[in-house]
Formats: sequence, structure tokens, C-alpha cells
Amino acid sequence: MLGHGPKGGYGFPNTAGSANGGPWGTNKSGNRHSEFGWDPNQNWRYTSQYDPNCKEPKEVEPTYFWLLTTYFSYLVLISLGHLRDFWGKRFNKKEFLHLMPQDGYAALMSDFDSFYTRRLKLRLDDCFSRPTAGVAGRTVTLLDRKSDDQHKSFQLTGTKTRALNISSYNYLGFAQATGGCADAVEAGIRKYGISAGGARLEAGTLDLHVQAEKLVSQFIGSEDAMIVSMGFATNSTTIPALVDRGCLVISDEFNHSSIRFGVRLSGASVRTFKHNDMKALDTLLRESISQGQPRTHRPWKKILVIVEGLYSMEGTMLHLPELIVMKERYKFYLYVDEAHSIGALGPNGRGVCDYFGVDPRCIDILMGTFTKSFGASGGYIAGNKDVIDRIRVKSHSMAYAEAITPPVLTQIISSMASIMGVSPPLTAATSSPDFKPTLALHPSSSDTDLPALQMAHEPGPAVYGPAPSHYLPPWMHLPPALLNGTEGRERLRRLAFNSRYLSSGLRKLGFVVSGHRDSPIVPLFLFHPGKMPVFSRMMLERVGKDRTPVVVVVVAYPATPLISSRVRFCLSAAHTKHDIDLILRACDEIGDILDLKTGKNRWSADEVIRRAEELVHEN
Amino acid sequence: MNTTTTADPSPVLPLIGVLTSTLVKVQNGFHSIPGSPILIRYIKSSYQNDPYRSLLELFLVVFALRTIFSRRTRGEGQSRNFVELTEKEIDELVDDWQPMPLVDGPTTKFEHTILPSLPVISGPASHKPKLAATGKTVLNLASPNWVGLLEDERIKEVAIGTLRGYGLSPCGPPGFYGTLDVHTQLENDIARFLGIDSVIVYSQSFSTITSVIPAFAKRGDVVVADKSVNFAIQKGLQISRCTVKWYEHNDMADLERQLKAVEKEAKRKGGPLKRRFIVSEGVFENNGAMIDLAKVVELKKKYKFRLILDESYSFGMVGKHGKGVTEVFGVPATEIDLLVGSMAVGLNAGGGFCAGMEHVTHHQRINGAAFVFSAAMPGLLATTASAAINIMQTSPQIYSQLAENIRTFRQGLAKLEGVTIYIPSNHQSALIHVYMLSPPESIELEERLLQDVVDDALGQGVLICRAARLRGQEVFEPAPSLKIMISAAFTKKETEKMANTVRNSLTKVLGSKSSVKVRKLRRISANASLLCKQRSDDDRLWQERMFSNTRPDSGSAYCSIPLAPGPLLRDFRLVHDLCFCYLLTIIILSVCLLSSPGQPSLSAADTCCTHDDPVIHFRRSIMVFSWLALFRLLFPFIFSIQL
Ligand SMILES: Cc1ncc(COP(=O)(O)O)c(C=O)c1O
Repeated sequence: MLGHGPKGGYGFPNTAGSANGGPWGTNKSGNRHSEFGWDPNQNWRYTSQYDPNCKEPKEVEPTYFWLLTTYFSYLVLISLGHLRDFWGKRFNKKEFLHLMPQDGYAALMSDFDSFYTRRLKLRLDDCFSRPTAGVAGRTVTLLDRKSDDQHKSFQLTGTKTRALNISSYNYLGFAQATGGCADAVEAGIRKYGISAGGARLEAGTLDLHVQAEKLVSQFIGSEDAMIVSMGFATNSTTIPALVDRGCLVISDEFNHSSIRFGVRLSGASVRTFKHNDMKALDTLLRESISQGQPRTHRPWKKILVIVEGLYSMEGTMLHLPELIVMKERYKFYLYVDEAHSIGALGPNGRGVCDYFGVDPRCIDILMGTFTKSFGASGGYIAGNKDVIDRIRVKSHSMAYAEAITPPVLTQIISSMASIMGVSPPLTAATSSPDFKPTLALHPSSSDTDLPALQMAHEPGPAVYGPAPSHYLPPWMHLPPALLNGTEGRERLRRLAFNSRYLSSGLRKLGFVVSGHRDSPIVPLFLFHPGKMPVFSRMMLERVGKDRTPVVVVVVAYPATPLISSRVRFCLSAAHTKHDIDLILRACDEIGDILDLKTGKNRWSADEVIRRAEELVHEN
Repeated sequence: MNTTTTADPSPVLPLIGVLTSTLVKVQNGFHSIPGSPILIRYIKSSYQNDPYRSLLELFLVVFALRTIFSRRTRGEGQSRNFVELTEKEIDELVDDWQPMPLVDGPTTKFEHTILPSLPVISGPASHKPKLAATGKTVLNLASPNWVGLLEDERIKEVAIGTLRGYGLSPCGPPGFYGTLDVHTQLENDIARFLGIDSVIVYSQSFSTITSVIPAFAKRGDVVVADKSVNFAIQKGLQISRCTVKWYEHNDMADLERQLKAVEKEAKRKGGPLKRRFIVSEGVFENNGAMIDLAKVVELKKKYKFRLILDESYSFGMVGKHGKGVTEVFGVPATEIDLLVGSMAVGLNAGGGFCAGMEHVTHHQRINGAAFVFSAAMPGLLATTASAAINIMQTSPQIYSQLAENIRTFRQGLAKLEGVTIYIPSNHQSALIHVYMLSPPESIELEERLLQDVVDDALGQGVLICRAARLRGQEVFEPAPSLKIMISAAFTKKETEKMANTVRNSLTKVLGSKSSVKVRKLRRISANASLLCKQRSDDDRLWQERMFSNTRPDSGSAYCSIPLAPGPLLRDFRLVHDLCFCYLLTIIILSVCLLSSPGQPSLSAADTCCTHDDPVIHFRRSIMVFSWLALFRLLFPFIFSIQL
């Protein structure tokens, strides 16, 4: 009655979809490997690091034929939509009631605003919001559903399909129901329960929060950090604490909705620049500083440049070294949203700073979320202590929103510690002068007095040390592979290989792929809106020899520009090389059918798979 | 069209010569474009046949051109106000410019003490937590824990079960495989519990209403809101850019006045019907008062407003089964158009929800920013919320215990002597705010006194808190207060003890300066709205601007970016306009075609036209249409290449 918990064993029984022997179905300990694939081949590893000599492939431009036909597709869709609206409003009034004023009430949703949803998105609604159950790890269990009324409503059929998951933001594969982190979370729940009880500035601060914040700041390499219970809110409630009227925010045009939300709440003026175009940014900065505020020409109070580390729809990375140089020149403040890059990039997994070898303390505000690489939820803000302390008392979330819950904190601490590795506690040492937080941690318990290993503090730009053991809660017992950081490193290197392999492989196959080759997000352009549902459905119901279903994310307007509809692959350390092979083959098949390939010097799928290592290491 | 210019002898011969030669050049150039002869012939003949059609086409061309060029100028920095500067001047200005520090320092001494004075709890949050600083166990009146589920073993077991089945996080937004069956289950559970059509869950309670309001209320829509609404609502109103009218806190007469005024205004202005909303809270987070729901629903129906009711605090707190104010007033929850609640506060789990009709929640699944653009909440928070609802449904004695505790506490507090306090909170509300009746001069001093009360009570083993408020960011600055949250987890004896402790602390700290003014007391209790200290005029101006639908600097190029991706929306609009354009053309051309039976006779007289056949006519029309189309379509691309 109470539980909707496991239905036997570790989760869900393996299901019909993979009965014919998917790559994980035949495995002995099937369930575990369905979360995290087993891939011992050390050749299939790579280190994610910036290499100035490494040329990034040129972005392939779509042909005019594709562009024109894409526009034509929209033309047909929109015309048909209006036609249907026209008839529908006259002959099928019931369906349109909520769009028309009635009974003295204006329509709750405007006709035009919902046009896109009703007339375009509805047609491919079966590809969105597919219900799932269980862990969104290497594979995911879909609850099959059908619709008898053109996607207006869906009914579950009761069957399930286990599919290869190349869609979740599970970069390091920490979405797991088993293993060291899950065990730690269980222990955490037994000790702490579910809720932290209130807002952080009232009574919602647990010792766990303090510990997690220290660990996060250590992980990032910044002085201090604070944690918010939702990634979206981290942006939307912190930005207003930094800028207000009279300040200027310069924002990349593809910045996430949460950033726009926050900026709009702040009341600051906003200018946007073309995505990742440092020249445009330079011009804009010169213009803004020299012109000052509109009308009065008073100088701006401050200028905050907000960019993302890794853009979630493009797979592109910010040009951090150039930004740092510009920052010197123009004296703006830099806010980097590392939602997707933290944990996923850099030899130590510490995000773009680690990747580019830049001192994280050069950046004023580092923001990130735990939903992605760490398999948790919530977000953090890191920076200098005085800045963070000030945000603590000015941010909306700290005063009014619920504090992040203990199970999530446990997951953050355990997964983060396992990426960092934990330095062994030294047996004999005196006190720990460095460890005297303003908010004392349970001094009553003897654990805090435990001799703490002093990290060589003042880490240089790229020195990311292990987590001091006293940063972990004393009751948290992680298995050795997590404690010594071997597993974390293994995950990082697997992810780096997978990302580079898929990105390079798809390019070799002739697809239009954008983004950085080290990026775990690989967008494949489809352009035509009509190809989105077909691609998604064909990946799920494969034809041909290998019938392993794959779930993919198709994205279109409003998340992307209207014409560049795309499939977005999110790689994970949980994927094995064979999984990537499978995806390459599947794309190859479908790409032929849907005419998605272009360019000369194409390789066959077999060749790509055979020469995988060469592809990955190629500059 | 303008081809034959025979030069008449006139005094400006050379000029005409130049004109003619350019014209001839243009003409030749035009002729060299493939397809142009057909176009010219077509235009010639169609002009004779049907001047109106040519006019229409001309209009379309102009329209297309206008759209293109209006796009060019928008968003560029070159406003009228732009000052041309040389590179050197710019360099100097850049060198000279000194930004202010990223954050201002604490402005008052009190602000320094906020962070260090925060209680840190060691171990679990519960009704009897242990303090990290002293190791002492205290009684907790500072956590929302109405039902007392903070440390419930049943809940923990459910959570662990889910953890082992689902892991912690679904690692993706609901649209992209983040929708778990347990989320849907929770939505159904809440819907059934409230007796409402459908529910959508968000992953943070604060962001729920901030996201729900702008999903429906847009620029130009009217919202009538209570002056005491919580901060999240204020932010939602701000971001929606709708027109906000404030009514005095819980003052139904004023509400009606405002509604009437809105109605009158709408009648005067005419135009299309605007969406109109009343926004209020069930139990107010800012003071614990309760809405007069029956009256509000009556007014809303009378004036045809929709009601957005934030039950973040009342859901799980009031009513026989904790269903919130709808249960208290016996108003069916379906009467509330958008009912927002919190699982984090009421159910000791996490996240928030919005309940309403099916199309209301469906709309949010695509338009609720915090729903669409954020990861779904962890599965175990959903199942524990479901479990909490289950417990609430099956054990109504919890709520009699809670009511009992509230009564006991308030009775205990009422014995207070020598100090005047004011409690605007409803007697059913487990959230109790204590205000000072004779506050000192400055807000800072008042906060500091209240903090002394908190510290004193903590010393005696009772954890209460000062309501955290973001000074300078609220629309109407609320007066400082103590925030006390009663739980059903306490026994009567504990509750009495806590009431005594709080009373003692109040007497001890505030009693020393107990120049009680009873007159003031009466006045304030008569008009609770006085509790909202009005800011100075300057500030009021600012907030008017903040909430008015025209931004002060909207005329300049520095307008803020829209919530939906900006350039993208523009693209969509563009293509959309374009399609309209085509549709119009198609319709008109088909009308022309259909009416063409009369034409052969007309054009038979026209010797230069050999195309009286309707089929040819049709082909020609298509020709022009595609010309227009190509022209219009190619332009954006040429354009984007330029950029
Ligand atoms: C750049 C960026 N910032 C913030 C967020 C929000 O994070 P969360 O999903 O944890 O709310 C996202 C999530 O998609 C993101 O991509």
C-alpha cells in the first residue's frame, strides 16, 4: 500500500523487448549491467583534456536544398494547422472550448501561443515524455503506451520495453540502484530521513549541508560553495542576488531558460551575443562600456557575462582562455553555468576549468547542477567566500525555498568523493587548524576531532587533490574502489572515450553533427520536422538484424532554432564500446533511409567500428 | 511596365539621357534573369485583366520587404541615442571604467550576524533535533512538520524501496525520459486526495508558483493580488509582466473594489477580453492568516476572475484530513482554477504541485519553465509524498492532535504579560507568526530583538526562528516576526512547555522595554494590513515600475530577453507570418481562378493575350506565387550568411 518500490529483486524484471538477447540480456547479473555496462578493455579509454593542437572539425553547413525543404515542411504544417483550426472552430467546437472566450472568461491559453503545441508538437508527442520505470542508467525500462486519438491521450498497454538509453544526463553513470553510492544513500536515509525541515536560513541547515558544501568547494577548487535544492532555481534565484537595475548582463544567445528567468527577475539590462562568438562579444563589450546605460549614458554599475560551460543543445564548449583574457581587459564579472560540464569534462572531472587548465578562482561565479554527472539533484554556486556568503543571505532560495534533502546530499557527497578519491586519514596529527567552520560541525562527536589530513592547501591552477577524509560524514562507508578514486577515474576515462568515439564516428559516417568532439552531448541534425518522429520511432522499433531498441531524444523548436531539429545523444560512462557500435550501426541504417548523410570521404559503419581507437586519438 | 521612355526634347536632356541609360541597364539586367520575360508578360497581361490582383501582389512584396528589413534593424545597438566614438575613445573609456564589486558587503552590523547565528542541526531533522553547536537536543518549532513525518520509519522504508528500484535521480527532464511511473502515481494520488481533475508535480516547491503564474498570465492580463502574498508569488507576477492590482490583506471589501475597478476599466477600454486572475494564499506564509475562501470564490464567480490559490502552507496543515483550506470551507477543490501546493512543506518530501483541469496541467507540461527545463524530481521523493498522503488519509487523529497542540500553544502564549505581541495567524493555522506591537524605530533593531528572543529560547531548549526575509526585495516590506510551526508529533505536555519557554523568552527580552500602548494594539488588530510597512515613496515608485506592464527602458534597444528563446521565437513568428502570407495568396488566387469563367470573353478582345486558357492562367499564377515564395525564402538565408 505504501510502497511503489521494487517489484522483486533489484528493480524490474527484464522485459519483452530484450528477450531476444540484447547486449545486456544475456548477462548473468543482468540487472546490474543494465545500469552500468562492463567494459574492461583499457584501450577504450581516453582523457578529456584541452589540446591546443587538436583541430576541431569544421561545422558542416546544411545544404540549401535541406533548408528550403525544411521551411517548406513547416509551411505545409502551419497551413494545415490553420486549416484544421479554421474548420475545427466551426464544426468541432467542443475541442476548442478552452481556446475561446466563453461565459465572460477570456481563453486561458492563447490560440497563437498554443498553436505550435497543438498543431506541430502533438504530431510527435509519442516521442516525448515517454513514461519510464526503474533506473535511467545504461538501459531504461519504457512503459509501453498507445494512443487511439492522435496523441491527445495515451494508455499504458501494461508491457515494458528495456531499451539502450542514450538520452539521460547520466554522464558518469551514477544513476544506479546498486553499488557504493546507493548503499551510502540507504545508510543516509536510515540516519537522516527524507526531509531537511525548512528553508536554509530558518532551520533547514543540517550538518550534512555544511559537509556537502565544503566538499563541493574542494571539488571545484573554489573558496566556498552553497547548495540549492534545484538546478533551475540555482540560476533563477541567484542571479537576482548579483545584479539589479543599472547593471548589464551579457548573455550567450543559447543560454538555458533558467538563466533567462533569473536575469529577468533581476531587473538588470540584458544584451545577447551570437552563440560562442568571441568577436561579437568583444564588439558588444566595447559598445556597452563606451555607451553606458541607455538614455543617460551613465556607466554601468557592473557587467556580468553569463555563459555555459557546455551547451546542452549544441555540444559546444565555451572559449574559456579567450574569455579570461577579455575579462582582464574589460573588467566584467564572469558567471559560468557548468550544469553539463561539471563531472563530465576535464582529466579530473572538474569541468571546463580543469579541461582548459584554467584556475577556477579566475572565474567569479561557477554554477553547476548535480542532476547530471552525479545522479542526484539540485545545484551549487561556487566562488569566493565573501561573495558566496553574501549570496547566502540574498538569494531567494536560501530564505524561502526548501533545503536540499538528505538522501540527495548523501548521493552528492558519495559520488563526488568517489570522483576525487579520499585521502586516507593519518593516524597521528594534532588539530586541524584549517577546519574550523563558522558553523561548527557536531563537535560533540569525536569524529570531527579526528586527526585530519591537511591537504596541501592553495592548490595551483590544475591541482585537484583528493577529498580530505574528514569531509565525509563519519557514518558513510564507501567501498575501496570508490574511496581510492580508481572507479571515478575509470568512469571519467570511459566517458571521454565514448564521447569522442560517437562524435567522430557519426561524422565519419557522413552525418551533420555539431559540437566539440570531447563533449558528451552529441547533436545530430535532422532539419526536417517530419524526420524527428520517424527517427525516434525507428530507433525504438529497429528493423534489420539487430533489434535492440534504443531510446533517443529528439529536440526541435522551442529548444532549438526552428530549422535545426536534431537528435541529441547524451553519452555515459555506463555505455560500453559495443553500445556505441550499436548506436552507430543503428544511425547508419536509419540515416540511409532518411537521407541524413552528406559529404565525401564517408566510411562504412564497419570501418568506423574497426578503426574506433584510431578515430578517437586522431587529432 | 516602365520600359519605353522616349526622350522628349526638354531643357534637362542630359539628365534624362542618364536616366534612360540606367533604365535600359536595369532592364537588360532584369531581362537576363531567367524567367523574367514570363514575369513581365504575366504582369502586363494580368494588369490588364485584373489590376486588383497586381495590386495585391505588389502589396505582398512590400509586406515581405518590410518584414525583412524590420528584422534587420531590431536588436541592433544603434538606437537614436547612440554616440559615435572612435576606437581610441572607446579604448580610453574601457580603461576608465571601474565596475562596482560583484556583491555589496553587509550593509548593517546585524547582517553580519545572520549566518553565524543560524542553528545547524546535527543528525536528522525531526521534532527533537540535536544541535551541532552544543550537542543538546531541543524541541523544534522551526520546521514545517505538521503531520510529524520527519522521522517516520514507514516513510524511510518506502524511500529505501524506491531507491533500490529506481536509483536516486531520473537524470533527465520529464520530457526526456525523466517521467517515472512513480511521478504519475503521485500526481494521481494528489488528484484523488483533493478530488480534482489532474495534477502536475514540480521538483521544487518555491519554483512551482513562480513558474505557474507566467505560464498563464501574460503581458496585458490583469492580476488582482493580496498585498501579503509570499515572495514566490511576487516573483511569478514580476516575471509574467501582467498588470498587478493589489488589495489590502484579506480585505474582501477592497478586493471587490479592485475587481469592480478592473471590470470598469475593461469596459471603458473595450478590446478583446483579457485573462483575469485573483492570486492569494490559503494560509499566508508571511503571517499565518487564512483566506476567506468562500467569499473569494463568490467574488471570483461574480466578476468572472480565475483564482490562483497558493496552498503551499495550508496543504497538509488545515482541514480534517489536511486537504487545505478547500476542506476547511467545504468548497470543492474544482472551484479553484489553479491550486498550488507543496510536498516539501506539507508532506515532508520535496517539490511542489499544481492542480487543476486536465488542459491546465497539460499546458504547463510544455509551458511551465521550471517543469520543462529542469530535471524531474528523485523517485523516492515522489513515493514518500504518496506514502505521506496515504498516512494522512488513514489517520485523521493526526489532525485532531495537531489542532489540540495549536490550541494548547496559543493558550500558553496568551498568558503573556507585560509585553504586547500581535498574532495575525488564524487559530487553525499551525504556522504562527508573532509580531511586536510596539516595535522600535528601525527594522534592524526589531530584527535584533527578535533574534535575541530566538537565542534565548534556544538556550532553554526550544528552537524557533525569525522569519527569514529578504529586506529590500519584497514588494511590501513585511514587518519582522517570529515564525513558529507546530507539529502533531508533540505531546500536550511538550507543547505546554514550549509555550511557556517562548513566553518566558518574550518577556525576558522584550519585557524590559514594555511601554505598552494599548491604543496602538487596537488599531493594529483592527487593520492587519498596517503590518506591511510601506516603503518610502521612492521605493514605491520603483515597485510600481517593476510591476507595471511597460518597462521603463522598453523604448531602448536594451530590453530584456523574452522567456522563451528570443531569436527562436522570432524565427517562428517569421515563418508563421510567411505562411499566412501564402495562405492568403493561395486563397485569393483560387478565388480568381474560380471566377475566371467570365474571363475568356474579356480577354478574347485582348489581342496581345494568348493565354485565355484557364489552365495556362493557373500555371502563370503558380509561377508568380513561386517567384514570391523563392524571393521571400531566400532572403533570410542570404541574410544569415551576411551575419
Ligand atoms: C545549463 C543548465 N542550467 C541549469 C539547468 C537546470 O538544472 P536542473 O535540471 O538540475 O534543474 C540545466 C538543465 O537542463 C541546464 O542545462
